[in-house]
Amino acid sequence: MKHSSYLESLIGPSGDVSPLRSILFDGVTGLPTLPLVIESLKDVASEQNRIGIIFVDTTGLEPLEQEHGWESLDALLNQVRVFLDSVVARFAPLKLFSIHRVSGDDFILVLSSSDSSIPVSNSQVAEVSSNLQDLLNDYLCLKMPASLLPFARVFSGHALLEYSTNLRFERLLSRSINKAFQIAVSQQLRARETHVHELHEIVNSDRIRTLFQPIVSLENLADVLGHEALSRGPEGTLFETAEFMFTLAAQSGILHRLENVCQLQLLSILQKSSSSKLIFVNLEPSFLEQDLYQRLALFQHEDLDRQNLVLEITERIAITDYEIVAKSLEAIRKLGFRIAVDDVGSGYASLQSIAYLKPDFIKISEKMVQGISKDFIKQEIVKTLRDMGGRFSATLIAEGIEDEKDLHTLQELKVQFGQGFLLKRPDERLLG
Amino acid sequence: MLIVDDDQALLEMVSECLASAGYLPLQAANGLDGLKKLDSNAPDMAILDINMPELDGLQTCRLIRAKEKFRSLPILMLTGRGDIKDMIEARKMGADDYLVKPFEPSVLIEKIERLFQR
Repeated sequence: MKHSSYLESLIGPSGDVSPLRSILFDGVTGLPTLPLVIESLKDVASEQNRIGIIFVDTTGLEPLEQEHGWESLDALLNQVRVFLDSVVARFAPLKLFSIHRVSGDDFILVLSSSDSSIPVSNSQVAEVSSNLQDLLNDYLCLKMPASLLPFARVFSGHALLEYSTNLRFERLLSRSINKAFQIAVSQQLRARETHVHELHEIVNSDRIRTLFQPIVSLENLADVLGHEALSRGPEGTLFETAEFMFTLAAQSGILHRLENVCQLQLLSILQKSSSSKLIFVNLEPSFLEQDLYQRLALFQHEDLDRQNLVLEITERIAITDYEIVAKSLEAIRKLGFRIAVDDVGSGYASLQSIAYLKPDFIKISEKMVQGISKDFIKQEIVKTLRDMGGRFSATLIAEGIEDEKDLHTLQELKVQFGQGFLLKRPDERLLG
Repeated sequence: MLIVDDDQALLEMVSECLASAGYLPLQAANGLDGLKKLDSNAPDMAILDINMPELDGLQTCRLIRAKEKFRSLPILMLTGRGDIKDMIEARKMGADDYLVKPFEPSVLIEKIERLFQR
Protein backbone atom coordinates (compact mmCIF):
# COMPACT_ATOMS: atom_id res chain seq x y z
CA MET A 1 0.00 0.00 0.00
CA LYS A 2 1.32 3.41 -0.89
CA HIS A 3 0.49 6.35 1.20
CA SER A 4 3.01 9.11 1.51
CA SER A 5 5.01 9.85 4.59
CA TYR A 6 3.33 13.23 4.49
CA LEU A 7 0.03 11.47 5.01
CA GLU A 8 1.63 9.37 7.73
CA SER A 9 2.76 12.53 9.50
CA LEU A 10 -0.70 13.98 9.19
CA ILE A 11 -2.56 11.03 10.59
CA GLY A 12 -0.07 10.11 13.28
CA PRO A 13 1.47 6.73 14.10
CA SER A 14 -0.71 3.63 14.09
CA GLY A 15 -2.29 2.88 17.45
CA ASP A 16 -2.98 6.56 17.96
CA VAL A 17 -6.62 7.48 17.59
CA SER A 18 -6.75 10.76 15.67
CA PRO A 19 -9.96 11.83 13.90
CA LEU A 20 -8.24 11.71 10.50
CA ARG A 21 -6.90 8.21 11.12
CA SER A 22 -10.35 7.01 12.08
CA ILE A 23 -11.73 8.25 8.75
CA LEU A 24 -9.01 6.67 6.65
CA PHE A 25 -8.47 3.46 8.58
CA ASP A 26 -10.87 0.98 10.10
CA GLY A 27 -10.66 1.31 13.89
CA VAL A 28 -11.10 -2.41 14.52
CA THR A 29 -8.76 -4.06 12.04
CA GLY A 30 -6.50 -1.15 11.11
CA LEU A 31 -7.35 -1.80 7.45
CA PRO A 32 -7.40 1.16 5.06
CA THR A 33 -10.76 2.34 3.75
CA LEU A 34 -11.41 2.09 0.02
CA PRO A 35 -11.11 5.83 -0.72
CA LEU A 36 -7.60 5.77 0.69
CA VAL A 37 -6.33 3.18 -1.80
CA ILE A 38 -8.49 3.93 -4.80
CA GLU A 39 -5.74 5.80 -6.67
CA SER A 40 -3.18 3.02 -6.27
CA LEU A 41 -5.90 0.51 -7.11
CA LYS A 42 -6.59 2.36 -10.32
CA ASP A 43 -2.88 2.29 -11.13
CA VAL A 44 -2.59 -1.45 -10.73
CA ALA A 45 -5.80 -2.09 -12.67
CA SER A 46 -4.64 -0.02 -15.62
CA GLU A 47 -1.20 -1.68 -15.51
CA GLN A 48 -2.47 -5.30 -15.29
CA ASN A 49 -5.79 -4.77 -17.16
CA ARG A 50 -7.68 -6.94 -14.70
CA ILE A 51 -8.08 -7.18 -10.95
CA GLY A 52 -10.20 -9.58 -8.92
CA ILE A 53 -12.79 -8.59 -6.35
CA ILE A 54 -14.09 -10.94 -3.67
CA PHE A 55 -16.93 -10.05 -1.35
CA VAL A 56 -16.85 -12.00 1.92
CA ASP A 57 -20.25 -11.87 3.57
CA THR A 58 -20.23 -13.14 7.14
CA THR A 59 -23.58 -13.76 8.80
CA GLY A 60 -24.51 -14.53 12.37
CA LEU A 61 -21.50 -12.98 14.06
CA GLU A 62 -23.51 -10.27 15.86
CA PRO A 63 -24.69 -12.55 18.69
CA LEU A 64 -21.03 -12.86 19.65
CA GLU A 65 -21.01 -9.17 20.44
CA GLN A 66 -24.29 -9.34 22.32
CA GLU A 67 -23.26 -12.30 24.39
CA HIS A 68 -19.53 -11.94 24.80
CA GLY A 69 -18.96 -8.21 24.37
CA TRP A 70 -17.58 -6.11 21.55
CA GLU A 71 -14.00 -7.15 22.31
CA SER A 72 -14.86 -10.73 21.30
CA LEU A 73 -16.32 -9.69 17.97
CA ASP A 74 -13.43 -7.31 17.27
CA ALA A 75 -10.93 -10.04 18.11
CA LEU A 76 -12.71 -12.48 15.80
CA LEU A 77 -12.85 -9.97 12.94
CA ASN A 78 -9.14 -9.38 13.37
CA GLN A 79 -8.47 -13.11 13.26
CA VAL A 80 -10.61 -13.48 10.15
CA ARG A 81 -8.70 -10.67 8.48
CA VAL A 82 -5.33 -12.31 9.24
CA PHE A 83 -6.76 -15.61 8.06
CA LEU A 84 -7.91 -14.06 4.75
CA ASP A 85 -4.34 -12.90 4.19
CA SER A 86 -2.90 -16.36 4.74
CA VAL A 87 -5.46 -18.10 2.51
CA VAL A 88 -4.86 -15.87 -0.49
CA ALA A 89 -1.10 -16.35 -0.05
CA ARG A 90 -1.60 -19.97 -1.16
CA PHE A 91 -2.74 -18.89 -4.61
CA ALA A 92 0.39 -17.32 -6.11
CA PRO A 93 0.83 -15.48 -8.43
CA LEU A 94 -2.45 -14.04 -7.19
CA LYS A 95 -1.79 -11.65 -4.41
CA LEU A 96 -3.92 -9.74 -1.99
CA PHE A 97 -3.68 -6.11 -2.98
CA SER A 98 -5.85 -4.83 -0.16
CA ILE A 99 -8.63 -5.83 2.22
CA HIS A 100 -11.40 -3.56 3.43
CA ARG A 101 -13.96 -4.10 6.10
CA VAL A 102 -17.46 -2.91 5.16
CA SER A 103 -20.84 -2.72 6.89
CA GLY A 104 -19.60 -4.13 10.17
CA ASP A 105 -18.63 -7.70 9.51
CA ASP A 106 -18.12 -8.09 5.76
CA PHE A 107 -14.89 -7.81 3.83
CA ILE A 108 -13.93 -6.76 0.33
CA LEU A 109 -10.73 -8.30 -1.03
CA VAL A 110 -8.89 -6.87 -3.99
CA LEU A 111 -6.65 -9.33 -5.83
CA SER A 112 -3.91 -8.48 -8.27
CA SER A 113 -1.10 -10.49 -9.81
CA SER A 114 2.43 -10.47 -8.48
CA ASP A 115 3.64 -11.41 -11.98
CA SER A 116 2.54 -8.84 -14.55
CA SER A 117 2.99 -11.38 -17.37
CA ILE A 118 0.21 -13.55 -15.85
CA PRO A 119 -2.84 -11.34 -15.38
CA VAL A 120 -5.63 -12.30 -13.00
CA SER A 121 -8.20 -14.64 -14.56
CA ASN A 122 -11.84 -15.15 -13.69
CA SER A 123 -11.38 -18.84 -12.89
CA GLN A 124 -8.53 -18.11 -10.50
CA VAL A 125 -10.55 -15.54 -8.60
CA ALA A 126 -13.52 -17.92 -8.51
CA GLU A 127 -11.29 -20.65 -7.11
CA VAL A 128 -9.92 -18.39 -4.38
CA SER A 129 -13.44 -17.25 -3.54
CA SER A 130 -14.86 -20.74 -3.15
CA ASN A 131 -11.82 -21.90 -1.19
CA LEU A 132 -12.11 -18.91 1.08
CA GLN A 133 -15.73 -19.69 1.75
CA ASP A 134 -15.01 -23.31 2.71
CA LEU A 135 -11.94 -22.54 4.78
CA LEU A 136 -13.56 -19.63 6.59
CA ASN A 137 -16.56 -21.76 7.51
CA ASP A 138 -14.21 -24.40 8.93
CA TYR A 139 -12.36 -21.65 10.73
CA LEU A 140 -15.54 -20.30 12.33
CA CYS A 141 -16.32 -23.84 13.56
CA LEU A 142 -13.16 -23.59 15.63
CA LYS A 143 -13.64 -20.04 16.82
CA MET A 144 -17.34 -19.58 17.54
CA PRO A 145 -18.96 -20.81 20.76
CA ALA A 146 -21.02 -23.94 19.98
CA SER A 147 -24.37 -22.33 20.77
CA LEU A 148 -23.81 -19.58 18.20
CA LEU A 149 -22.23 -21.75 15.56
CA PRO A 150 -25.30 -22.77 13.51
CA PHE A 151 -26.00 -19.10 12.85
CA ALA A 152 -22.47 -18.23 11.78
CA ARG A 153 -21.83 -18.77 8.11
CA VAL A 154 -19.63 -17.21 5.48
CA PHE A 155 -20.69 -16.68 1.87
CA SER A 156 -18.39 -15.28 -0.74
CA GLY A 157 -18.85 -14.00 -4.25
CA HIS A 158 -16.35 -12.86 -6.84
CA ALA A 159 -16.08 -10.58 -9.83
CA LEU A 160 -13.42 -9.64 -12.34
CA LEU A 161 -12.82 -5.97 -12.91
CA GLU A 162 -11.65 -5.32 -16.48
CA TYR A 163 -10.00 -1.97 -16.79
CA SER A 164 -11.42 0.41 -19.33
CA THR A 165 -10.72 4.05 -20.01
CA ASN A 166 -14.31 4.52 -21.21
CA LEU A 167 -15.74 4.40 -17.74
CA ARG A 168 -14.80 6.13 -14.57
CA PHE A 169 -12.76 3.74 -12.44
CA GLU A 170 -14.94 4.34 -9.38
CA ARG A 171 -17.96 3.16 -11.34
CA LEU A 172 -16.18 0.06 -12.60
CA LEU A 173 -15.14 -0.73 -9.08
CA SER A 174 -18.57 -0.30 -7.56
CA ARG A 175 -20.11 -2.46 -10.32
CA SER A 176 -17.65 -5.25 -9.60
CA ILE A 177 -18.17 -5.04 -5.86
CA ASN A 178 -21.90 -5.13 -6.37
CA LYS A 179 -21.65 -8.17 -8.65
CA ALA A 180 -19.51 -10.03 -6.10
CA PHE A 181 -21.96 -9.05 -3.36
CA GLN A 182 -24.95 -10.34 -5.35
CA ILE A 183 -23.29 -13.69 -5.85
CA ALA A 184 -22.58 -13.97 -2.10
CA VAL A 185 -26.18 -13.10 -1.29
CA SER A 186 -27.61 -15.62 -3.73
CA GLN A 187 -25.43 -18.31 -2.14
CA GLN A 188 -26.84 -17.32 1.21
CA LEU A 189 -30.41 -17.61 -0.07
CA ARG A 190 -29.72 -21.02 -1.53
CA ALA A 191 -28.23 -22.27 1.75
CA ARG A 192 -31.28 -21.04 3.56
CA GLU A 193 -33.65 -22.81 1.20
CA THR A 194 -31.80 -26.04 1.84
CA HIS A 195 -32.15 -25.58 5.61
CA VAL A 196 -35.86 -24.82 5.36
CA HIS A 197 -36.33 -27.92 3.24
CA GLU A 198 -34.48 -30.05 5.81
CA LEU A 199 -36.58 -28.62 8.62
CA HIS A 200 -39.81 -29.46 6.77
CA GLU A 201 -38.62 -33.04 6.41
CA ILE A 202 -37.80 -33.25 10.13
CA VAL A 203 -41.22 -31.92 11.13
CA ASN A 204 -43.09 -34.12 8.65
CA SER A 205 -41.35 -37.25 9.85
CA ASP A 206 -41.52 -36.39 13.59
CA ARG A 207 -37.77 -36.58 13.96
CA ILE A 208 -37.73 -34.48 17.13
CA ARG A 209 -36.12 -35.71 20.32
CA THR A 210 -37.26 -34.69 23.79
CA LEU A 211 -34.58 -34.51 26.46
CA PHE A 212 -35.02 -33.86 30.16
CA GLN A 213 -32.53 -31.80 32.07
CA PRO A 214 -32.73 -32.18 35.86
CA ILE A 215 -32.98 -29.06 38.00
CA VAL A 216 -31.37 -29.74 41.37
CA SER A 217 -31.00 -28.03 44.73
CA LEU A 218 -27.62 -26.32 44.97
CA GLU A 219 -27.56 -26.99 48.70
CA ASN A 220 -28.02 -30.71 48.20
CA LEU A 221 -27.20 -31.70 44.64
CA ALA A 222 -28.99 -35.05 44.94
CA ASP A 223 -32.27 -33.28 45.54
CA VAL A 224 -34.18 -32.94 42.23
CA LEU A 225 -36.78 -30.14 41.93
CA GLY A 226 -37.91 -31.13 38.46
CA HIS A 227 -36.85 -31.32 34.81
CA GLU A 228 -36.75 -28.94 31.91
CA ALA A 229 -38.11 -30.54 28.76
CA LEU A 230 -35.87 -29.71 25.80
CA SER A 231 -36.76 -30.32 22.16
CA ARG A 232 -33.90 -31.04 19.82
CA GLY A 233 -33.53 -31.81 16.15
CA PRO A 234 -31.76 -34.97 14.94
CA GLU A 235 -28.26 -35.58 16.26
CA GLY A 236 -25.40 -34.36 14.12
CA THR A 237 -27.47 -31.72 12.33
CA LEU A 238 -27.57 -27.95 12.82
CA PHE A 239 -31.05 -28.46 14.25
CA GLU A 240 -29.55 -29.92 17.40
CA THR A 241 -29.24 -26.30 18.49
CA ALA A 242 -32.81 -25.58 19.55
CA GLU A 243 -32.53 -21.86 19.00
CA PHE A 244 -31.50 -22.37 15.38
CA MET A 245 -34.34 -24.80 14.76
CA PHE A 246 -37.01 -22.60 16.34
CA THR A 247 -35.73 -19.40 14.77
CA LEU A 248 -35.77 -20.94 11.32
CA ALA A 249 -39.21 -22.44 11.93
CA ALA A 250 -40.55 -19.03 12.94
CA GLN A 251 -38.99 -17.36 9.91
CA SER A 252 -40.35 -19.92 7.51
CA GLY A 253 -43.85 -20.03 8.96
CA ILE A 254 -43.89 -23.55 10.42
CA LEU A 255 -43.36 -22.70 14.07
CA HIS A 256 -46.81 -23.93 15.09
CA ARG A 257 -46.37 -27.24 13.33
CA LEU A 258 -42.97 -27.71 14.95
CA GLU A 259 -44.36 -26.83 18.37
CA ASN A 260 -47.18 -29.33 17.88
CA VAL A 261 -44.77 -32.12 17.08
CA CYS A 262 -42.61 -31.21 20.09
CA GLN A 263 -45.51 -30.99 22.51
CA LEU A 264 -47.27 -34.13 21.38
CA GLN A 265 -44.07 -36.02 21.85
CA LEU A 266 -43.56 -34.53 25.31
CA LEU A 267 -47.14 -35.42 26.26
CA SER A 268 -46.78 -39.02 25.22
CA ILE A 269 -43.68 -39.30 27.44
CA LEU A 270 -45.34 -37.57 30.38
CA GLN A 271 -48.37 -39.83 30.21
CA LYS A 272 -46.19 -42.90 30.50
CA SER A 273 -44.03 -41.44 33.25
CA SER A 274 -44.60 -41.86 36.94
CA SER A 275 -42.54 -38.80 37.88
CA SER A 276 -44.22 -36.48 40.35
CA LYS A 277 -41.58 -33.78 40.01
CA LEU A 278 -42.03 -30.46 38.22
CA ILE A 279 -41.80 -30.28 34.45
CA PHE A 280 -40.59 -27.02 32.94
CA VAL A 281 -41.82 -26.47 29.39
CA ASN A 282 -40.77 -23.63 27.09
CA LEU A 283 -43.63 -21.58 25.72
CA GLU A 284 -43.03 -19.66 22.51
CA PRO A 285 -43.63 -15.95 23.20
CA SER A 286 -45.79 -15.57 20.08
CA PHE A 287 -48.38 -17.92 21.62
CA LEU A 288 -49.13 -15.35 24.28
CA GLU A 289 -50.61 -13.19 21.56
CA GLN A 290 -52.49 -15.87 19.67
CA ASP A 291 -53.50 -19.51 19.98
CA LEU A 292 -52.68 -19.54 23.70
CA TYR A 293 -55.70 -21.63 24.65
CA GLN A 294 -55.23 -24.05 21.81
CA ARG A 295 -51.63 -24.46 22.99
CA LEU A 296 -52.57 -24.92 26.63
CA ALA A 297 -55.41 -27.32 25.77
CA LEU A 298 -52.75 -29.84 24.88
CA PHE A 299 -51.58 -29.81 28.48
CA GLN A 300 -55.01 -29.94 30.06
CA HIS A 301 -55.02 -33.67 29.90
CA GLU A 302 -56.66 -35.59 32.70
CA ASP A 303 -53.56 -37.73 33.25
CA LEU A 304 -51.45 -34.66 33.91
CA ASP A 305 -51.21 -32.73 37.12
CA ARG A 306 -51.21 -29.09 36.02
CA GLN A 307 -49.67 -28.02 39.31
CA ASN A 308 -46.55 -29.84 38.21
CA LEU A 309 -46.29 -27.99 34.93
CA VAL A 310 -44.25 -24.81 34.83
CA LEU A 311 -44.48 -22.79 31.64
CA GLU A 312 -41.28 -20.96 30.80
CA ILE A 313 -41.43 -17.68 28.96
CA THR A 314 -38.36 -15.76 27.93
CA GLU A 315 -37.55 -12.43 29.57
CA ARG A 316 -37.72 -10.91 26.09
CA ILE A 317 -41.51 -10.83 26.28
CA ALA A 318 -41.24 -8.45 29.23
CA ILE A 319 -40.36 -5.74 26.75
CA THR A 320 -43.32 -6.40 24.43
CA ASP A 321 -46.90 -5.43 25.00
CA TYR A 322 -47.45 -5.41 28.78
CA GLU A 323 -51.23 -5.71 28.60
CA ILE A 324 -51.29 -8.75 26.35
CA VAL A 325 -48.56 -10.43 28.38
CA ALA A 326 -50.25 -9.68 31.71
CA LYS A 327 -53.60 -10.98 30.44
CA SER A 328 -52.08 -14.18 29.07
CA LEU A 329 -50.14 -14.88 32.25
CA GLU A 330 -53.31 -14.38 34.25
CA ALA A 331 -55.07 -16.93 32.03
CA ILE A 332 -52.20 -19.39 32.45
CA ARG A 333 -52.33 -19.04 36.24
CA LYS A 334 -56.09 -19.50 36.36
CA LEU A 335 -55.71 -22.80 34.56
CA GLY A 336 -53.40 -23.93 37.34
CA PHE A 337 -50.03 -23.74 35.63
CA ARG A 338 -47.04 -22.06 37.18
CA ILE A 339 -44.81 -19.55 35.44
CA ALA A 340 -41.06 -19.20 35.09
CA VAL A 341 -39.24 -16.33 33.42
CA ASP A 342 -36.37 -17.71 31.40
CA ASP A 343 -33.10 -16.12 30.14
CA VAL A 344 -33.11 -13.53 32.91
CA GLY A 345 -30.00 -11.39 32.67
CA SER A 346 -29.57 -11.66 28.93
CA GLY A 347 -30.01 -7.93 28.71
CA TYR A 348 -33.49 -7.40 27.35
CA ALA A 349 -35.66 -6.86 30.39
CA SER A 350 -35.18 -4.52 33.29
CA LEU A 351 -35.67 -5.55 36.89
CA GLN A 352 -38.93 -3.68 37.00
CA SER A 353 -40.44 -5.46 34.02
CA ILE A 354 -39.50 -8.88 35.43
CA ALA A 355 -41.03 -7.93 38.77
CA TYR A 356 -44.17 -6.94 36.91
CA LEU A 357 -44.59 -10.50 35.62
CA LYS A 358 -44.43 -11.88 39.21
CA PRO A 359 -43.13 -15.28 38.14
CA ASP A 360 -42.99 -18.32 40.43
CA PHE A 361 -39.50 -19.05 39.17
CA ILE A 362 -36.70 -16.82 37.89
CA LYS A 363 -34.27 -18.68 35.64
CA ILE A 364 -30.92 -16.93 35.44
CA SER A 365 -29.50 -17.02 31.93
CA GLU A 366 -26.44 -19.18 31.34
CA LYS A 367 -24.75 -16.06 29.98
CA MET A 368 -24.96 -14.63 33.49
CA VAL A 369 -23.94 -17.89 35.15
CA GLN A 370 -20.91 -18.86 33.11
CA GLY A 371 -17.78 -17.20 34.43
CA ILE A 372 -19.58 -15.75 37.46
CA SER A 373 -16.81 -16.83 39.83
CA LYS A 374 -14.46 -14.29 38.27
CA ASP A 375 -16.96 -11.63 37.27
CA PHE A 376 -17.93 -9.23 40.04
CA ILE A 377 -20.66 -7.53 38.03
CA LYS A 378 -22.38 -10.85 37.31
CA GLN A 379 -22.28 -11.56 41.05
CA GLU A 380 -23.82 -8.15 41.69
CA ILE A 381 -26.60 -8.93 39.17
CA VAL A 382 -27.41 -12.29 40.73
CA LYS A 383 -27.53 -10.68 44.20
CA THR A 384 -29.96 -8.09 42.86
CA LEU A 385 -32.16 -10.82 41.31
CA ARG A 386 -32.05 -12.86 44.51
CA ASP A 387 -33.17 -9.89 46.60
CA MET A 388 -35.94 -9.06 44.14
CA GLY A 389 -37.09 -12.68 43.93
CA GLY A 390 -37.22 -12.80 47.72
CA ARG A 391 -39.70 -9.93 47.74
CA PHE A 392 -42.41 -11.88 45.92
CA SER A 393 -41.24 -15.40 46.81
CA ALA A 394 -39.99 -16.38 43.39
CA THR A 395 -37.55 -19.29 43.36
CA LEU A 396 -34.17 -18.70 41.70
CA ILE A 397 -32.76 -21.26 39.25
CA ALA A 398 -29.32 -20.85 37.67
CA GLU A 399 -29.03 -22.27 34.15
CA GLY A 400 -26.00 -23.61 32.31
CA ILE A 401 -23.75 -24.45 35.28
CA GLU A 402 -20.68 -26.06 33.74
CA ASP A 403 -17.86 -25.09 36.06
CA GLU A 404 -17.06 -26.02 39.69
CA LYS A 405 -15.96 -22.51 40.63
CA ASP A 406 -19.14 -20.98 39.20
CA LEU A 407 -21.15 -23.54 41.18
CA HIS A 408 -19.39 -22.52 44.41
CA THR A 409 -20.01 -18.85 43.76
CA LEU A 410 -23.72 -19.53 43.13
CA GLN A 411 -23.90 -21.53 46.35
CA GLU A 412 -22.25 -18.65 48.23
CA LEU A 413 -24.76 -16.25 46.68
CA LYS A 414 -27.52 -18.51 48.02
CA VAL A 415 -29.10 -19.36 44.68
CA GLN A 416 -31.52 -22.17 45.51
CA PHE A 417 -31.56 -24.33 42.40
CA GLY A 418 -29.52 -24.96 39.29
CA GLN A 419 -29.17 -26.98 36.12
CA GLY A 420 -26.28 -27.59 33.77
CA PHE A 421 -23.84 -30.16 32.40
CA LEU A 422 -21.75 -30.06 35.58
CA LEU A 423 -24.73 -31.17 37.69
CA LYS A 424 -26.58 -33.53 35.36
CA ARG A 425 -26.73 -33.93 31.60
CA PRO A 426 -30.04 -33.91 29.75
CA ASP A 427 -31.36 -37.41 29.30
CA GLU A 428 -33.97 -38.99 27.03
CA ARG A 429 -35.46 -40.73 30.03
CA LEU A 430 -37.49 -38.91 32.62
CA LEU A 431 -36.08 -40.13 35.93
CA GLY A 432 -37.31 -39.63 39.47
CA MET B 1 -6.87 6.15 42.12
CA LEU B 2 -8.77 8.14 39.54
CA ILE B 3 -12.29 9.08 40.58
CA VAL B 4 -14.61 10.69 38.04
CA ASP B 5 -17.91 12.22 39.17
CA ASP B 6 -19.75 15.44 38.38
CA ASP B 7 -21.10 15.57 41.93
CA GLN B 8 -18.50 17.51 43.92
CA ALA B 9 -19.82 16.33 47.30
CA LEU B 10 -19.54 12.68 46.30
CA LEU B 11 -16.12 13.31 44.81
CA GLU B 12 -14.95 14.67 48.19
CA MET B 13 -16.58 11.85 50.12
CA VAL B 14 -15.01 9.12 48.00
CA SER B 15 -11.63 10.87 48.02
CA GLU B 16 -11.67 11.05 51.80
CA CYS B 17 -12.69 7.43 52.04
CA LEU B 18 -9.86 6.40 49.68
CA ALA B 19 -7.29 8.54 51.48
CA SER B 20 -8.19 7.08 54.86
CA ALA B 21 -7.63 3.60 53.42
CA GLY B 22 -4.17 4.64 52.24
CA TYR B 23 -4.94 5.28 48.56
CA LEU B 24 -4.03 8.46 46.73
CA PRO B 25 -7.17 9.96 45.18
CA LEU B 26 -7.09 11.85 41.89
CA GLN B 27 -10.26 13.78 41.12
CA ALA B 28 -11.89 14.51 37.78
CA ALA B 29 -15.19 16.33 37.36
CA ASN B 30 -16.24 14.79 34.03
CA GLY B 31 -15.44 12.07 31.53
CA LEU B 32 -13.14 14.12 29.32
CA ASP B 33 -11.19 15.47 32.30
CA GLY B 34 -10.97 11.88 33.54
CA LEU B 35 -9.53 10.62 30.25
CA LYS B 36 -6.90 13.38 30.27
CA LYS B 37 -5.86 12.68 33.86
CA LEU B 38 -5.75 8.98 33.12
CA ASP B 39 -3.26 9.56 30.33
CA SER B 40 -0.98 11.86 32.30
CA ASN B 41 -1.07 10.15 35.71
CA ALA B 42 -1.48 6.44 34.91
CA PRO B 43 -3.48 5.53 38.05
CA ASP B 44 -3.95 1.93 39.25
CA MET B 45 -7.74 2.03 39.16
CA ALA B 46 -10.58 4.14 37.77
CA ILE B 47 -13.85 4.75 39.63
CA LEU B 48 -16.47 6.20 37.28
CA ASP B 49 -19.92 7.58 37.97
CA ILE B 50 -22.35 6.46 35.26
CA ASN B 51 -24.63 9.50 35.21
CA MET B 52 -22.61 12.47 34.04
CA PRO B 53 -23.50 15.14 31.52
CA GLU B 54 -21.94 14.96 28.01
CA LEU B 55 -19.53 12.03 28.22
CA ASP B 56 -21.14 9.60 30.66
CA GLY B 57 -19.40 6.89 32.68
CA LEU B 58 -20.26 4.10 30.23
CA GLN B 59 -18.84 5.98 27.24
CA THR B 60 -15.78 6.95 29.28
CA CYS B 61 -15.30 3.32 30.23
CA ARG B 62 -15.43 2.21 26.61
CA LEU B 63 -12.94 4.88 25.57
CA ILE B 64 -10.56 3.80 28.33
CA ARG B 65 -10.80 0.15 27.26
CA ALA B 66 -10.18 1.09 23.62
CA LYS B 67 -6.62 2.00 24.58
CA GLU B 68 -4.25 -0.91 24.62
CA LYS B 69 -2.40 0.22 27.77
CA PHE B 70 -5.62 0.40 29.81
CA ARG B 71 -7.06 -2.98 28.79
CA SER B 72 -6.49 -4.43 32.24
CA LEU B 73 -6.97 -1.32 34.36
CA PRO B 74 -9.55 -2.16 37.07
CA ILE B 75 -12.69 -0.06 36.53
CA LEU B 76 -15.41 0.31 39.14
CA MET B 77 -18.71 1.94 38.16
CA LEU B 78 -20.82 4.00 40.57
CA THR B 79 -24.49 4.57 39.91
CA GLY B 80 -27.68 5.67 41.52
CA ARG B 81 -29.64 2.83 39.93
CA GLY B 82 -29.40 -0.85 40.80
CA ASP B 83 -31.01 -2.22 37.66
CA ILE B 84 -29.66 -5.31 35.94
CA LYS B 85 -29.96 -3.64 32.54
CA ASP B 86 -27.48 -0.95 33.57
CA MET B 87 -25.18 -3.53 35.11
CA ILE B 88 -25.17 -5.57 31.91
CA GLU B 89 -24.43 -2.41 29.95
CA ALA B 90 -21.53 -1.58 32.29
CA ARG B 91 -20.11 -5.08 31.80
CA LYS B 92 -20.37 -4.72 28.04
CA MET B 93 -18.40 -1.50 28.15
CA GLY B 94 -15.63 -3.30 30.00
CA ALA B 95 -16.22 -2.39 33.65
CA ASP B 96 -15.07 -4.83 36.35
CA ASP B 97 -17.42 -4.07 39.22
CA TYR B 98 -20.50 -2.07 40.02
CA LEU B 99 -21.58 -0.22 43.14
CA VAL B 100 -24.99 1.31 43.78
CA LYS B 101 -25.21 4.66 45.60
CA PRO B 102 -25.61 5.34 48.46
CA PHE B 103 -23.00 2.94 49.82
CA GLU B 104 -21.01 2.36 52.98
CA PRO B 105 -17.36 3.45 52.67
CA SER B 106 -16.32 0.02 53.92
CA VAL B 107 -18.13 -1.63 50.98
CA LEU B 108 -16.27 0.60 48.52
CA ILE B 109 -12.89 -0.26 50.08
CA GLU B 110 -13.80 -3.95 50.12
CA LYS B 111 -14.63 -3.87 46.41
CA ILE B 112 -11.41 -1.99 45.60
CA GLU B 113 -9.31 -4.52 47.49
CA ARG B 114 -11.09 -7.40 45.80
CA LEU B 115 -10.38 -5.87 42.39
CA PHE B 116 -6.69 -5.47 43.20
CA GLN B 117 -6.47 -9.06 44.43
CA ARG B 118 -7.80 -10.45 41.20
